Amino acid sequence: MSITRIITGLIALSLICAWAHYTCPYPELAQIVANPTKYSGQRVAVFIEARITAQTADGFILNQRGTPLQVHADMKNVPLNEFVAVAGIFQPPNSLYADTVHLAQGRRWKMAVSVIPVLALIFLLPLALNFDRQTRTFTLRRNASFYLFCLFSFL
Amino acid sequence: MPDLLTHAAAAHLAARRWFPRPAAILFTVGTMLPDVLSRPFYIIFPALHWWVMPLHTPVGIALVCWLLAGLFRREDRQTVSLALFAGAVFHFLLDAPQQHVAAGYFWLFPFSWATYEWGLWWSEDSVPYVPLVVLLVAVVEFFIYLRARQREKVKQVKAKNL
Repeated sequence: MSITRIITGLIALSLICAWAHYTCPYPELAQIVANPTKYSGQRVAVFIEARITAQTADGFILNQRGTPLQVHADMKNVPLNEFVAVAGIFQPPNSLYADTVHLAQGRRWKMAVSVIPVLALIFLLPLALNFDRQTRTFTLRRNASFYLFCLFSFL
Repeated sequence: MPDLLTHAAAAHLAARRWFPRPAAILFTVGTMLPDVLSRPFYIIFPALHWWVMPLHTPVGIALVCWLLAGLFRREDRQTVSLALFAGAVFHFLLDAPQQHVAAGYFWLFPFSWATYEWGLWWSEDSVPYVPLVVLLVAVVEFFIYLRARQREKVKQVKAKNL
């Protein structure tokens, strides 16, 4: 693998990753709560790894990376510790009048199920590839699809 | 996204139909790439969400495929990068019908933050159908096996008659 290719590729990837981080139009909850006047009365969304920590009279309290937010959503019997995504109008200091709430029930199952093909791939991919030490490159073995077939057979 | 097992199973079936054998595994690997490169990092470290998000976009994954293809022999690189990228595009096709509360999939990133999705179902909705998907793959594989065996028998009979 040429050094030029590695450096060019990694620089390009780093640039777009940094661009995404610094220009994303969706503020995190900590940013919103830290600038209440800026976001007061504005429609915001909290959706990255937020979980319900408590039930309230007219909704629930969610927590995103240590920052709590009281959500007014007219919901009863919300499942605690469940992943949630909300969008609505922010009211300082830390309240949100939600117009959209999505309880991501089943997300843990989704994560668990998604681990299976990754583990299978980690074990079976090395069997499907040859590494040539002289040229320091990989080649696909002829019967690579056999291992792929195994991947699904054992599932 | 649907769960990764559904992605992988769908890719396996598609690869069986459309891809020659050595490239089929790369197609399936390509299907897994967008999720494997982004989800684990921000699930474990949520602060990294926007850092790894580009790896779940067409431009980001095209760069990754180009980089990974560099690990292969010079004469295989084009096939490898195309198979990986085709797999990733297949992944995005399965992601497109979903809906999100906010910030869906950024197909035009880094040129635009516009999102577009069909909004037919939520990403967790595929989980109850996982056993069905696995069963479907098994049934298809079984029929392919039966057909191959039948062809072999016909060949043997023809050879005997000759």
